[in-house]
Order: sequence, then structure tokens, then C-alpha cells
Amino acid sequence: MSLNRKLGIVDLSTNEIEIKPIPIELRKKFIGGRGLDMYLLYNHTEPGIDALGPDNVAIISAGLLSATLSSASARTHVAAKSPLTGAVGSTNMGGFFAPEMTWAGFHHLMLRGQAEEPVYIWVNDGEIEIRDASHLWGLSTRDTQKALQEELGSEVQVLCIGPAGENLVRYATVMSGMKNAGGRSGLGAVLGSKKVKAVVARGTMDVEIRHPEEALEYDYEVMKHISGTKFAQIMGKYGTMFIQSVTNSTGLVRTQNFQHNQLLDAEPIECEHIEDYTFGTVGCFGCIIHCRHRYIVDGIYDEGPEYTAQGAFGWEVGCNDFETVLMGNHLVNHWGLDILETGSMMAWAMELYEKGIITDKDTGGLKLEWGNTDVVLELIRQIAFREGIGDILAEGPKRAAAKIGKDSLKYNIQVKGMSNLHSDERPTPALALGIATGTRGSDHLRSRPAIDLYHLPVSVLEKVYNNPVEYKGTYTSDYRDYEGKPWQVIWHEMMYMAIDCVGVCKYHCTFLSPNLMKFEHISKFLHYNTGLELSPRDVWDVAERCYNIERMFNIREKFGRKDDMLVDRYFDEPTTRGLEIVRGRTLDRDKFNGMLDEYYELHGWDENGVPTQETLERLGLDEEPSHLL
Amino acid sequence: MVKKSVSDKQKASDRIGEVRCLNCFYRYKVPPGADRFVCPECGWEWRVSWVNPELAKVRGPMWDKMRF
Amino acid sequence: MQKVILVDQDKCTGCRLCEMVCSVKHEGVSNPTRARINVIKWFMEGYLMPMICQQCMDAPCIAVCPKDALSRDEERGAVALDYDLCIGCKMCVTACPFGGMGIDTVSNKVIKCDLCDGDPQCVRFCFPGALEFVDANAVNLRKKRDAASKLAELMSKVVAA
Repeated sequence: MSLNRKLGIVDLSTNEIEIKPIPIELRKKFIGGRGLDMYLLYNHTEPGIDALGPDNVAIISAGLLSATLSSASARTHVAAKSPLTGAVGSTNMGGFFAPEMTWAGFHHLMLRGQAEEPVYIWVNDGEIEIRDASHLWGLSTRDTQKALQEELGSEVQVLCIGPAGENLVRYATVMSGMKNAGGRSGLGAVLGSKKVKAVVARGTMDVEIRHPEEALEYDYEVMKHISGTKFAQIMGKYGTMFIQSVTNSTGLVRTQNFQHNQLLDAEPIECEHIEDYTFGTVGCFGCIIHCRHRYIVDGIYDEGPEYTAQGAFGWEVGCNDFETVLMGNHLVNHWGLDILETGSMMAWAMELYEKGIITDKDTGGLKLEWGNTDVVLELIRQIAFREGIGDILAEGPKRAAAKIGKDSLKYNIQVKGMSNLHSDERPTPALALGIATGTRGSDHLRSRPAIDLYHLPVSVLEKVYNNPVEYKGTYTSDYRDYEGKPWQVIWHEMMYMAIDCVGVCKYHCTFLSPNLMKFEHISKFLHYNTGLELSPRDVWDVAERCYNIERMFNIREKFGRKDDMLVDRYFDEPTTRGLEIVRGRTLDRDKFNGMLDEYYELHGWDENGVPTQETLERLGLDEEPSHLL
Repeated sequence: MVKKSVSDKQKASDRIGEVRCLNCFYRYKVPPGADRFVCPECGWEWRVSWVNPELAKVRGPMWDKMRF
Repeated sequence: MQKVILVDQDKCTGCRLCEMVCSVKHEGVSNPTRARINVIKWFMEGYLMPMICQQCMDAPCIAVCPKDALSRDEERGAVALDYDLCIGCKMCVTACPFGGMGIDTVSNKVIKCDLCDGDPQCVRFCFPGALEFVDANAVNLRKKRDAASKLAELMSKVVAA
């Protein structure tokens, strides 16, 4: 049964290993995955610790529905204090690692302390071992996986770091497979600081399905529905790159750092060009959407690319060359860098170079000019290996700005020290509020109400957003409005938290299409697969509890209202391009603050964004840290 | 592809080639195989691509008209 | 009516859903090591191949079975396994050239694809269509059609040029 999966605690300083069952009360309160990770993180860290020191913990987890019949139960979640932001570090990736860890008997693995020499962790059928990894240190993510599969058998699943993680680049990824990247928050650097090169899982243990026949039927019904949606068909053909057709065509992409909101003449990087390079798509475990292409560029095989690759190596750096997108995607995955942060840092450096804030002297002669594809690919290498200017850029927005000095920070587009997605939210207040309030820093995967862009009728919005909790205010279909948007942001926060707790992919829930999974689906999947009985409203309450514990972690680290704010450029510089409906727009500072007030109030947080005592009691969080595990 | 029931197919056929103009949000049925259309509501011109013979999507604007 | 599971590896996305539904259907648990079907992967090259019992006409497993527990079911076109006769000697596992015969370490029995009594769940859940359950006598027509449509596409490019 999923509910009997355990927590493994590995102390890398003392080489002690402890295996604990997960109490059912904690399952009912936090379900698992990201939710339980956050409980563990809050309980096992002290405020103010060094994210790259031995006191930080790295928690790797599978959701409660991992490896069960629940649409796409593939996601692995990793949590720690983030070395990039100092806030909650949280990252989520697809592939096959979480199901394999589940078959090996574990849902959560907590690494603490620091090893003296490189190690890897071997998780196999209820047992955990710390093993020497000196032969793997320095290898790329794919070479590491290849070596470990040769050593342990081709069935093993590997989660590893690349050179970027070893070099403590503050936005290094954890990787599994060719393109499953836990990119955000820099948790690859946390593993690097602990000298953990990889975690390898292999499992042959049953995951008992509570009601097998019904689970098969219900899963089939949901999958058939999902596969028939327009969204799934488009995703299955082009991957997330299809989003560009909407956003760049409208004028909603962050271009040349923040100077424009559209890449002109973008035809060469439109998603349709993938057809010249692909030989079919692949899916993560149990997924019918299959959004990744298998492609070959310059004789190299890789998978992807995604929307963020187009952003990082396309509009952000002013390139419109599809092969640069493909090659850039390959290099960041190969060396283990967060694609989003890498693209943003490069674009920022290019704007600083253009403005004369950094010069050839700082870049070692590298001409950081817009559209220079060779420079883009060279910069990726310099960041991963911390060479030249790459050593500064590897520090992430705030630390790099402090090193460069002058007014460089002013040009950096970040929230809480994490770079924004390569999209432009000046015309879209709902999306702007989402990235401003995200717990792990600027983030489109905590709460982005992406369907707000679809101009859905109010009746549809009411149907989606008034379940399972009703909103008393009104909605508008216009994505440029401020009304009703705070509630939409909160609804998506809960949706994405719930889906992360069970370990299902966000593309299967109400994220990019209003027709996909919602709270009632999660409730039913839990019933059929695990026997854990939670109503849709209960699932919402769990999500709210988990989101609040993330917020409490940040509050404990001295984050507050001042950090739930976008940089001034959003309010001061009007958009320059795109369709008339989005041109010449800025965010209105007063209205934005009004949204923030409403958002806090709806959450039950005070005007500084701190959960009130009443809210904590309502959610049963007033005793935290409770140290039940 | 998914095996569809007859009613599914009929439902789908009503929406074959339907795309939404990104400028005015008007829903328009693109003729089969067409690679561009002019929105009858606002006059904006879009390039189109086909995911499969029944499903069209906006591919992008006419870039020469994206100058202001 | 003889029907066979036709595999088109070009359409396989490597999601391994077939493995999970197979083990849930037969054992009530999710566990690919107890599934009758497995997707074999070369992950560095992106090559994927679902492997399953081929229900051979002249099956090596039948030939080596000392107790006649395996036999040809002509009506369904399948190789049937009679657990009442099986002694678990695993000779069939050794003889099968495809890995179609497996060992279930929990029940201590050999396992093989039984076509789910005519409604194979792996096929039902394979939305990309890499697995199809088709009439045996239509198999080559099906493949001819696929090959022909690829040729037609190539021809249209030549004509257009």
C-alpha cells in the first residue's frame, strides 16, 4: 500500500541511516510529496542556517499517488532551504525516479550533514546504503547516469547533479534521465555541498492498489477525457513550446531582459520547427500527454525543448535561431543548470553590457551582444564551470548584483532573489500577483492562473473557481483587469499544492486548460488507489495547510510583504510591443497593492503577510514545529 | 489516437478548425488546410498550423505587420 | 477469431503505463517486475521497444514444457498456460527468445501474457497507439497501410517540388 511507504534519514556526517514509518495522522494532514516535505523541512531546520552548510537538509520525495493509477503519477519533489533565495527551496520534476523510489519502499528521503568525500546513495528494496562516488565526480548528468546504470543495471533510476551542482552554482539542478530537471531553487548546489553526486533507486516491491478494478476504470475514464482535450493534443505534438504561439504573438514575453515584451520576426523559433529535428515524443511515467520531443542537433541526442528554452535562448537574449534553442537546452541539462535562471542571468548581463555597467574588462573580452548565439552558448559553459564572468553570474541575481555593484540590481527582474519566468506580466495583473507572492521566489508554478489568458466566460470561471470553496466576489474575463484575480491566484496555489502532494503532473490539472483535473479528481484517485478518504474540501484544506507551512518557513527566515513585490520596472516602464490590447501598459502600483491586501485577507494573513493565530489554529498549525517525524 | 465514439466525433466536428483570434478573442473556424486567416471581427491576420486534420492553432502573426 | 497484439515501437512514448496496468489487472498491485509486458529502453539514444509474449505459432515454450502445461489455443491464437499442470520448472523461461515468460517471485509461478481474456489492458491504456489488438489476418494489411501512408507523404513532397 502507498500508505506504508517510509521515510529514510541519511546522516552524511556520521554515516547513520534511520528508517521510519510515516504516521497516518501526518498523511491526513499533509498527504505526502511537497506537502510532507515542507513539514519535514520546517521541523528539521533552524532559521538562519547556511543553505550550503551541514545544517540544511535535502528532502527527496514521491507523492502519495506515485506509481499508482492516477493519470501521471511520475513527479519527484525535492526540498531544502534554497541557496539562491534563502527562502523555501522546492523543485519538482518528471521522469521515473519517484515511482522507482516508491517500488523500493520509500516516499521520502532526507539527507542531512555533509560527506567528506563524494558519495552516492543506493536505495534498493527497503534498504539504504551510502557508497563511494569519487569515480563519478566531475561527470555530466548523462555520463553519471550511464556509469551508474553500467554499475547497477539498466533498470535503476538515477537522480544526480552535474558539474554545476558540484561547483555550487546557486541555481544548479538535480537531474534524472535526459531532461527531467528539478531546476528551481538551486537544490543541485545543496546536494553538491553535501557531496552527494547521485541518489539511485531500484525497487521491486508491490504498491498495493486499494480498489484495483475500480481504479483501472476510473483512471481510464480520466485519461480518455484528458487525451481528448485540445490542450493534450497540442501538448502531445509540440510540447510546452506551443505556449509561445499565444504569448509571443500577443506580446507577453520578457524580451531582452525587460526592454520589450515581444521578440519580433520570431518565425524561426516557432514550435512547428521541432518537426525538422524530432523523431517522436516521450512521456514520463504513466503519462498520456507525452510533451517531450526526442531530437538530434549537431549529432547529439536530447529531449525537450520547452517553452523556457525558447525564452532563455530565444527572446531573452535576442536570438531567433532554433538550433541555439536546441543546443542551449542540451547544455544546461548536460551540466545541470536551471534553464530559466541561466537565461535570465545572461539576459541581465547583456543589458548591463549594453548600458556600459559591465565592460569587456569584466567579461574577459566576451561581447555580450543581443543575438550573439556563440556568446550565449559560451556563457552557459562559463556559468556551469564558474569561469570568467560566469563565476559572478553563477551567484544568482542578488549576490551577483552586489558583486557588480553600481545600479545593476535595478535592471534585474527577480522576486525574492529568484529570476522571473521569461514572460511579461505587465498587461496581466493576475499572473503578476502570482509570481510576486510565490513562496519559492518568482514563480509560475506555485499559483499561475494561466487560463486567465483564455478570455473564458464568467460562467466558466465561476464553475472552476467556486469549487470546493466559494468566492464571494466577482470575476472578469479580461486578463488586464484586477478584479477577482487574488482569489484565482489562491485557487491555483491550492490546486498546484494538492497535485504536488500526490505527485501527479501539473499538466493534468487545471493549469493550462480549464477542463482538466480538479480537487474532486484527487479525492477519488486517493480513494481508489490508497483508501485514504479525503473529500475535495479536505484536499483543499490539506493544500492550504501545506501552503501555510511554506509561508511560515519564509516568515521564520524574515520574509514578508516587502518581498511579495515586483521590481519597479513593472510599474514604471510601459510595454513597447505586441497587440494594441497589451501595448503601452504598466502595472498600477495602487491597484497591485490592493490585490495584495485582498490576497492576504482571503488567506487569513495580516497586512504583512503573516498567518494570524486564528488561521494557524484553524489549520492545526499552531503547534508547529511538532516533531512528529 | 483515441478511439472515439460516434457522439464524440459529432461533437468534435462542430469545432473542427476552430481557433480564437488573440486580438479580439472571436472564435473562428479556419477552412480545412488553410495556413492563414483574417479575423472577420477585427481584421487582424494570423498564420495557422494544424496539429492534426481536425485541430488548428494560431501559429503566429504576420511579422511584417508587427511594426508600430 | 485470432487476434494479436501488434507493436509499433515508433509510436511508443516509453511511459510504462502498460506495465503498471498489467500488474494491477493480474496481481492487484502496481509493480512492473510482476508485469507481463515491459518497455525496454535505450535512454541515451531515445530508443524504446515494448516487449511481450509473441504468442508464437511454433512456440519454444510449448516444446520444452515437460508437463504439457503450455499449449496452443487455436481459437484465440494464443499460447495458454495451465497452472494446474505447471510445476514451475522454468524451462519455458529459458527457452523463450523474447523474455515473454517471466518469474513472479511473490507467487513463485511463471507468468505470461494471457491477452486479459480478450481485452488486453495494456492495449486499452496505450493512448498513443503503440499497442493495438487486431485480427491476425489483418496484421499485414495494417502494416501495409502505415507504410503506404508514409510513402504517400514522401511522394506528395516529390510532386510538390
